Amino acid sequence: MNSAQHNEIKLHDVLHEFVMAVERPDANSLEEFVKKYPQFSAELTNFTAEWLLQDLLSENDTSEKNVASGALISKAMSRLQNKLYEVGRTEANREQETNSNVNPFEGCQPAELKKIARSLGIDTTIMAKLKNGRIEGEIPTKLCDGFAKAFDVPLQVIKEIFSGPAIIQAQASFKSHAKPEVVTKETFEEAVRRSTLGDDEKEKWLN
Amino acid sequence: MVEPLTKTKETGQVYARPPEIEEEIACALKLGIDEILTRAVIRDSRVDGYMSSECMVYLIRRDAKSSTHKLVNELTPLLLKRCETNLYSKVTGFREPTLQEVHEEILGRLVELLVDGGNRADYFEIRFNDAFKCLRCEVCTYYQRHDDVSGSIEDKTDLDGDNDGGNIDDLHCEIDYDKVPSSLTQEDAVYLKQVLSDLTDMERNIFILHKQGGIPINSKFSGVTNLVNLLGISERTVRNHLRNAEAKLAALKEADNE
Repeated sequence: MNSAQHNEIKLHDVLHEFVMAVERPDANSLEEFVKKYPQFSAELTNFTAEWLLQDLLSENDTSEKNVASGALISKAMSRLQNKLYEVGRTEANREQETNSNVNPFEGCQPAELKKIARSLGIDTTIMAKLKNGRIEGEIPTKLCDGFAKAFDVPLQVIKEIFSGPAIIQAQASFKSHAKPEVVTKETFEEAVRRSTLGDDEKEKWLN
Repeated sequence: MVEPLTKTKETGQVYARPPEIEEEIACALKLGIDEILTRAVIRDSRVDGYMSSECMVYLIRRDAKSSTHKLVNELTPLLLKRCETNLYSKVTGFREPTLQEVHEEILGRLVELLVDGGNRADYFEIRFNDAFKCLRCEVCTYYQRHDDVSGSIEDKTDLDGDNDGGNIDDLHCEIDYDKVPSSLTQEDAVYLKQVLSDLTDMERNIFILHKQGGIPINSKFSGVTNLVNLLGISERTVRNHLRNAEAKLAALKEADNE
C-alpha cells in the first residue's frame, strides 16, 4: 500500500469517526476534529459543508420522489460482480503464490530440476528422493543451502520439504489395489550409494 | 457465531456493533434464504419481521466470502433499493448528467466496499445510516471538487482585487467578528436547492458553513474556529464569496417574485 492509499483510508476512518461522534456538525465539533487531525483540515471542512447541505435540503424536502430507476441498481450490481471477480482472482493468485512458496519444486520443469541437480553435484534420483521426503536423518547443510539459493527461497522452506511426510508419485498409485504407503525411508548416505553418480562424486558426499 | 468486527478506533480499541444488532444477526443466521429475503423487503422498521440494514450488510459480507454468492446477488438489490430512496432526497446540487453519475458512484462504492473482503465496511454494521451518510458526503465532495473548476476549495485565489464581482461597500463597515448567524429558513432552503448548481464550490461551502453551520467568518480571539482559518484565505475573500452566493440567491428570489 502506498502512502496515498494509506492516507485515503486514514481520511475515510477520520470521516466515519466524525459522523459517528457528531449528530450535527457545528463550529465546535469541526474545530475539535480539525485540531485532532490538522492534516485533513480542508477535507473535514468540505465534508462538513456537504453534510450540512444534505441535512438542510432533505429537512425541507417535501416533494414526492420518483424512485423507479432499476438502472441505478443494475449498474451497482454490475460493479459488485466485477469486484467479486477481482477479489476472487486476487485470492486465487495469492493461494497459488502461497502454494508455490511452500514447495518450489512444484511447477518447476524437469529439465530445470535436472540442471539444478547437476549444479549441486547430485543426480535426479537423489533429488527426487529429497523432494518427496524419502530421505531421513541428516542432509548436508551445503546441499540444502544450494537448493535454497537455486530456488531463491529461505533455507527453512527447503528443510521443511525434505523433512516432511513422504510423498508417493501420483503415477504410481494405479498399480496398487490399496492406497500405497511409503514403508521405508533411507538415509542420505544410502541414497548416494544407490545413485547413478560416479565414484568420485559419491566419495565427495560420503566423506 | 457472529464474527466480530476488526476495524479499530484511533485508540486501538476495536469497534463493536450495538448489542441489538448482534442479537438480530445471531437470529438471522438461523433463517433460510427465503425468510431473509422476505424480511429484507420490509422497509418500515415498525413492521414485524423488519430486518435492519446493518444486519443485511453482515449477511451480504459473510456470503461474499462463500463460493455461491446467492445471498449477495439477491439481498444486495434490496439493500440498494433502501439507499436509492435516500439518495434522491439527499443528493442534489449537481446538474445532469453529473447527478446521475454521483448516484451511481455512491451505490457503486457501497457495493464494492461490501464485497472487497476488507474491514472498511465495518462501519455499515454499526450504524448504517451514518456510514452511508459519510459515503454520500465523501462522494459528493469529490464530485464538487472535480466538477467545479472555477471555485474549488483548493482554489485559494483571492477575490480581493478587481475580480471580486460583488459589492464591496460593506467591507468598510464595522465587522461583527464572532457573529454566529441563524440557520437558514425553509424558504431559503428551497431557493438554495435551485441555485446550488450555479454556485462555485467555494461560494457554496462558505455560504453553508457560515449560514447553516454557524461558523463565523473571522474571530478576534485566536484559536476560535472561523472560515478564514479553515479555508486559509483572507477575510475579504470569504466575504466576497459569501456575497456572491447571497446575490445569486437573491436574484433567484427576485425573479420568482416578479
